[in-house]
Amino acid sequence: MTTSSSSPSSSSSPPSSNSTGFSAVLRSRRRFLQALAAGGLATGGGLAANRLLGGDWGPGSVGGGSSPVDPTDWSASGAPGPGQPGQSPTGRRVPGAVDGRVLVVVDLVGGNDGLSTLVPAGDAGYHDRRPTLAIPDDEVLALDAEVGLHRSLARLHRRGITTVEGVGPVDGDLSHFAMTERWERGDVRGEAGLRTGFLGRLCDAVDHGGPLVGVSLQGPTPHLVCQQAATMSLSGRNDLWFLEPTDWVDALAFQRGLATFAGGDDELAGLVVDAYQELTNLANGLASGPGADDGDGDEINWDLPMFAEGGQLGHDLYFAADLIESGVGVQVVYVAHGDYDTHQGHQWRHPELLSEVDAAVDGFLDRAEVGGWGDSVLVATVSEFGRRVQENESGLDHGSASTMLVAGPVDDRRLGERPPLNDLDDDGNLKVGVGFDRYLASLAQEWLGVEAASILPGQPEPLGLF
Amino acid sequence: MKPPFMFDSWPLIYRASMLGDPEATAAHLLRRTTLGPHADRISALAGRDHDTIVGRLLDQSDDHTPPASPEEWSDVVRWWLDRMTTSDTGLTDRLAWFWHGLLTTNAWKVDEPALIAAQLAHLRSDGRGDFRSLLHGFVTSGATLQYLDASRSLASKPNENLSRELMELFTIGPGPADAPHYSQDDVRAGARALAGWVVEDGQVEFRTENAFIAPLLFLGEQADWDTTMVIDRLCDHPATAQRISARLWSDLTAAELTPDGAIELGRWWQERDLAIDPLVERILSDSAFDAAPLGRPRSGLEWYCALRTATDLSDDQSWHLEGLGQMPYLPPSAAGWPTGPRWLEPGSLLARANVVHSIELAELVDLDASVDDILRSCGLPFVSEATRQALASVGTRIGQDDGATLSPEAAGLARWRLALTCPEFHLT
Repeated sequence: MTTSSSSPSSSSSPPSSNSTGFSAVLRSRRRFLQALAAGGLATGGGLAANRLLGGDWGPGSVGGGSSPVDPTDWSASGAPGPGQPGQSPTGRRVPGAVDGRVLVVVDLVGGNDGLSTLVPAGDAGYHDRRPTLAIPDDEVLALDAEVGLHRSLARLHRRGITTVEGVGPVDGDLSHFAMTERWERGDVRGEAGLRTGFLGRLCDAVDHGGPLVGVSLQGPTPHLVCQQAATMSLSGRNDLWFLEPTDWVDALAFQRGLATFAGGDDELAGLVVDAYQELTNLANGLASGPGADDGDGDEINWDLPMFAEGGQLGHDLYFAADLIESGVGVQVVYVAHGDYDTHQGHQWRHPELLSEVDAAVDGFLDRAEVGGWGDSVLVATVSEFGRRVQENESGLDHGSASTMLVAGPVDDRRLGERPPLNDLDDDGNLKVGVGFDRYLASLAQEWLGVEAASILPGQPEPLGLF
Repeated sequence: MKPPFMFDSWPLIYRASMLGDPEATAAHLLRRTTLGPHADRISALAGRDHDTIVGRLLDQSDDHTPPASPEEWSDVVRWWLDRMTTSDTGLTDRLAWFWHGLLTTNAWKVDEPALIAAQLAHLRSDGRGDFRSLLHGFVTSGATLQYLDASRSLASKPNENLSRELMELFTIGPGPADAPHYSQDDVRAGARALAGWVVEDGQVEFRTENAFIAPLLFLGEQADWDTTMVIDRLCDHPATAQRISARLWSDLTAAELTPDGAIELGRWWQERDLAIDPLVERILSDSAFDAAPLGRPRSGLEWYCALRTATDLSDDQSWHLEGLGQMPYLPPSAAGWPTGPRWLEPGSLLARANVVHSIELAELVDLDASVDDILRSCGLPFVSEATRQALASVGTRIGQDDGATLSPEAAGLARWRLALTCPEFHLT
């Protein structure tokens, strides 16, 4: 149990980014902006915005359902809405918001079954509809008379987490790609025509000009598409070695050549040149930040485990912790896990996935506490949808509402609305009681101090996470 | 000399260097229609006109087959990469690669490496035939049936995965929100119709006792639907021809079709029974094809193949493709890999620069080569002045600025690394 006092303290922030120290940061996002804006106008040729976000990333379709709609809903919300297609709102901070907090989003890719995560063990209907896949009572870590966590989440259960039930898209469908796109854009109905990612807008709102505000450990992701803040995907800190400041002429020769490249009037070449500049800024930032390795060994904390638990997710979160501690200003981290698309073999695949989440997240939070920034980091899961209540032969088909998990300085409690098993939708799926935009609103406003209505359409009400 | 392209649409930064270059047409065509391409293949076609080169591309065929009994699926990928970068008939693998990006499979969900080999053999042998047979063979391949959970699906409790992806990704697409192409009921009916397949010990069989033998309502029509009927019905739908031809059009031209253009191209393709080679020929003859050389980013695999041919990197380093985000048979989802500017995101370029720094260039290339020769080896007969400068200035500025000398070998290495990381090398 991490906390019983509900308000997270700001006394132990991660090494905060020193914005003046990174004054040389290039605002190279302008090119992406131009590309985005062009998409609102261009048909054929050029850089259509949907090539950056959605569009040909996903299945794509000619005359398909993904064409952006004029975001009238958005303007009606009173937020600083986009004046023209292709523009994105600028997030507002809440007065008195705590600076320097970090949000880590763990995406349970493929659609995580909420009923196998937070198990409605006391519900007879659950056992009726899952004759082979219901989690036996003795494998459930009871929270109360109604529900309990899956046994694979033992460490998080011990730590104490907040669960949010009944979360999903509003009037969603059962397509991975369409629902993933809604989560990415923070567009609960899929109608707002947004061209940036929800996490990207968060990065813009909290941006202090550091060389790395948002990072994906899963390759480039639409979640982090933004207008201004430095966001990128990374796989390991050592990747940057040949860009670090050096006196070694062999490396300098390459670095200077790299700085000579120019994009001229070619947009794509310009993107390459900008990307190299951002990487160079990050390498410089890592070399000069408070967590920089100066070779004297002081940076090594011997209290930490040498290896992360929890498979690839554990490694990813371990690297995220390195980045957070390096002081370059990381505030939003995106990691993906799994293939939760358990049409088959749910019975053995799902517990394995959950135990990786359990070990990786608990180990990450342990490390944050050792490092003195445990109160400044929140880990929250997302997943495109839940799964069908009725099992198929050996697994579960696509569903709707699911249960999200929030770990860190939160109370051990249940939030959201538990979807009734005796009142399903026409497809036999749980009804969504909490539009996922309210969940995202909580992460934005109640954790990072970014006014929800300024970055999410439809003025969603936060859930009261703290 | 008459400029071979729609010259006016070119970015200014490339015009000076490509004007009059006899290799410009061949370089552009081979970049888009093959993987690599090797510099020798470009120079062999130097001075030929567009139609001659296209005719030659379409004339060549390739009857190689993947190893039938590979030990690991990665053996199949390794074999494929070799074909991609050494074959004289590059169009076969270029199209097989295009189809693999649409008709995806993830090797982790497939038991037998031989099933991967068999599916790849099909994508290569039928990838230039007609889309209907290509799709039918793909759907009923053991690898697909396992990947999309259709093996052992029972009509009484059908697994919906293959049915949904078949419509959403491989054929008609979801359609507009106000007039969707299919409903959840169609997904379920399709799943019933597709039930009966079983993959066991690497063999695909159809078990009638698992199948649904009764009339079903699918896409508004009551019939005794089975796998072939479902695929035929979907291939007859105009949206399939539109979506697939538009996708290939964008891939080859680096532009987007207008909605009207997509309808027209789809209709044209349907009239030709979804025959693939004629579609390729038509797209390559479109003025849009010449309008934007270096007009789209190379994907991770395209860049890696270009690196292999530029440096004669032939030993197996295919594991690099995981870091580059595009290992064949490990797509991020059933929707395949992203396209577009995301391949130029900083993290992606960092991964590429790391590969450039990790291969043993000194053993692969001539470190004394001139800037022109390096660029030519990299398949870059035309580059911006800034890129040429970046390579040409290596070896002078270091000494002047710092009083430190750069060895000739180190200068050669830096030049090669810069050529392999320059903006143009990331584009096609």
